Amino acid sequence: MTLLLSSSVTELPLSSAGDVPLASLRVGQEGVVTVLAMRDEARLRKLMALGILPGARLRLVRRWPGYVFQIGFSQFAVDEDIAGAIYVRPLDASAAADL
Amino acid sequence: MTQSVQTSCHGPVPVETEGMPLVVLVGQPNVGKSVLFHHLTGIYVTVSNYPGTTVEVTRGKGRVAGDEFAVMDTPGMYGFLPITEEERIARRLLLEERPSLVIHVVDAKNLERMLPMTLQFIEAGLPLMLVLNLMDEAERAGVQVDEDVLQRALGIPVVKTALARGQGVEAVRAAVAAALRGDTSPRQSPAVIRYPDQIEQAIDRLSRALQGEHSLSRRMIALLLLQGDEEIVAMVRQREPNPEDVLRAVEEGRQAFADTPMLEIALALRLRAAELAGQAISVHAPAKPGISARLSEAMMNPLTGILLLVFTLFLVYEFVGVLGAQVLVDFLENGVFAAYVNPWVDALLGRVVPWPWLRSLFGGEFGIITLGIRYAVAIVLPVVATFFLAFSLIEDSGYLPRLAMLIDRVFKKIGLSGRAVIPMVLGFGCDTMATLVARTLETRRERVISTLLLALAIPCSAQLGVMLGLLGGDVRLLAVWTAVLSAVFLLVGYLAAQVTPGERPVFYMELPPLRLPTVGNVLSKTAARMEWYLREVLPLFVLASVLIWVGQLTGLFDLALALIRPVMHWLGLPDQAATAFLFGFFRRDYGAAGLYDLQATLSARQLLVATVTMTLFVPCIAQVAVMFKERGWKVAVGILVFVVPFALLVGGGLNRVLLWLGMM
Ligand SMILES: Nc1nc2c(ncn2[C@@H]2O[C@H](COP(=O)(O)OP(=O)(O)OP(=O)(O)O)[C@@H](O)[C@H]2O)c(=O)[nH]1
Ligand SMILES: [Mg+2]
Repeated sequence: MTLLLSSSVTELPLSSAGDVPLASLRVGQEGVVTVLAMRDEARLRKLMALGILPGARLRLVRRWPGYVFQIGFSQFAVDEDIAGAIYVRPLDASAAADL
Repeated sequence: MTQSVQTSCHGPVPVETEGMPLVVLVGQPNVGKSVLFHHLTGIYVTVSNYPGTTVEVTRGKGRVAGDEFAVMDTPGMYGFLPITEEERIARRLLLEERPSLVIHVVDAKNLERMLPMTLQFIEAGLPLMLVLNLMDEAERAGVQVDEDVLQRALGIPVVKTALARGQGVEAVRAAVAAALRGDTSPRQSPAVIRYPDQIEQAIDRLSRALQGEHSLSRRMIALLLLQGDEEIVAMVRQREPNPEDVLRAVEEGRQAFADTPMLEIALALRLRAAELAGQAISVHAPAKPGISARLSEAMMNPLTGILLLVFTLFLVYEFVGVLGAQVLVDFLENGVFAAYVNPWVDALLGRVVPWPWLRSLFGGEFGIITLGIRYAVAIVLPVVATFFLAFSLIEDSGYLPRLAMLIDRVFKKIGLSGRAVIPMVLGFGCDTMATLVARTLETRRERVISTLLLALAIPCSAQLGVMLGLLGGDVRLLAVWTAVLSAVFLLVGYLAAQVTPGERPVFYMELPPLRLPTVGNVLSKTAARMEWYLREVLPLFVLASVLIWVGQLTGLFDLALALIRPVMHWLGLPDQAATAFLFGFFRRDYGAAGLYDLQATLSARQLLVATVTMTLFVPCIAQVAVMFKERGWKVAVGILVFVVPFALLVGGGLNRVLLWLGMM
């Protein structure tokens, strides 16, 4: 079990070449959020208040009919639009495997 | 002052709390604020396991150590900058009232996500107390919290609780007593967080430009202004002696940032929260994901999810449609009213009241007791009671947010996001309450479409119950009724989505953990809803009886019936059905109950046409009132003008199709 909790936010340089949208993670794969690419400021704020903000470490739980992922002890469901706007840096497969 | 509307089957009676110190309960959604409100005041407000249960403010009265204080329960908010209407209501309260104590209730296991808001409350200079709730869940997840660490770092009282189990309530009360006895004047906010230098400088400059009296600290006002909070801009214009100077300072401050410093501020808060949580929390090996994780998975998997949905609907039907609407209604209607109450009332009236015109007010065909009370108690109540009971179990389990995820794709086709599943499902309980809950939807377009669909195609529990009772004997009829209503729901939703301007809906939602409903909450909630229901329905049913009585005496009743009769012919219904439809103008369930009396004389086709038309027919008065208040008169009038002819059109159309098919 990877400790997600107190280390779930870290300072990190935003955005780099290896970033992919959440929508392209595999089920079970982990990633660290780097960029929230959306124009609607209010929505951005709400996502951040939910804990979905750069530096947050997440794990994809389900892809269909909606995207479900886990951050810390909470699960969130989002649609394709949002899943396409959350960019993450995938963590390597071994980190995902022991979850 | 924010007052809660008391229009319908959804809210407790307001309490007088003038002049008492005020304690406000705030926090993220679904953390137990309303449970705490019940513990402090004894007043039950709805508690359910999904975010956004509470959508308005409730005021109550508590007592510690002989002193009385006012308590306010607020809708959950995600951040200090509100997005949806119910969040705005919660924050406005903090801007307008001067609470002696603000209690921030949080989910202990997600402390890191909760603390940024705590930090903001402290920065705002509010007299704060932190309640770490859901400790039972935190412990099960292997999370231990050291409240002393937080207490020292934040400089505020911190209490650990598991409120749903009653744990820690005494500690909260003791802390409230101590806080109310202590100094409650606005505080100098302790330096709990430092933002990046650039932001700190902008805050400093802005704070110096502010001169007016505000209920929040200048630092907080400055922060909100920098993030472009329009409500605060309006407040500045009102309360600042030189608002233009301030707004210019805001512009200058914002120039240093590409857009707004929102992201930087959120990140700084979150990092500080992570730091604090890291000091206060230790995580031990958590329990293995158990049965609840697997059940959650099954609810969201399309294949098993749909099976589970069908199974749930089947159980609800057996409980509400069969036990409630058939067995219990039959017992009360035939076993109690027809056998004892009505003959007894009529006999008594015959003996003591010499005037037939007065007798018919209380007894006879349309009397207050023999019709009004009978409808409310014998036909509607059993259904409402069984429905609310079944519904409470579903609400408390955490099933609804998962259903929202499952159905999101379908709902997008009708211009709604999956989140709208919650008001739609609530509508089956009470459409009025559901229309209010549509506040939690993000866009105006979604709010308008869901208000329309609630008014048109979602029968409330009272109505649904009577329909089930009427059609339940024949599964084929029930199937056609369901199919027609579903088709109307989807078709009208689809068309409304085409013609209503506005943004495309997006879906994102927190999925709360599945929880085992507690007997106490399920029973309290059912009892409270039945009480609200009766309080609303009984007077209306009695009033309807009185109006009918007046109408009969003056001949207006017959005139109205004569006017409706051509409509009955268009629907292929017998003349007597006009009475039920006239009742339907008071309340759909009252009209439906009227159909119940006609049951024996109607053919299967007529029964179907009558129930479909009645279901689509005008919403109840309370719902109309909320439609006006929440969505504005243009939308409300538009919906009403659409609903009535549309209901008759569908009914008449159905009649012709059925005749043509020669089915029934
Ligand atoms: N296990 C457990 N469940 C709790 C506890 N406190 C509250 N709950 C449950 O959490 C859910 C939410 O409680 P509410 O009181 O409705 O939460 P709220 O903060 O008022 O939520 P909103 O009105 O949506 O903002 C309900 O299902 C409660 O039964 C607790 O200490 N332990
Ligand atoms: Mg609540």
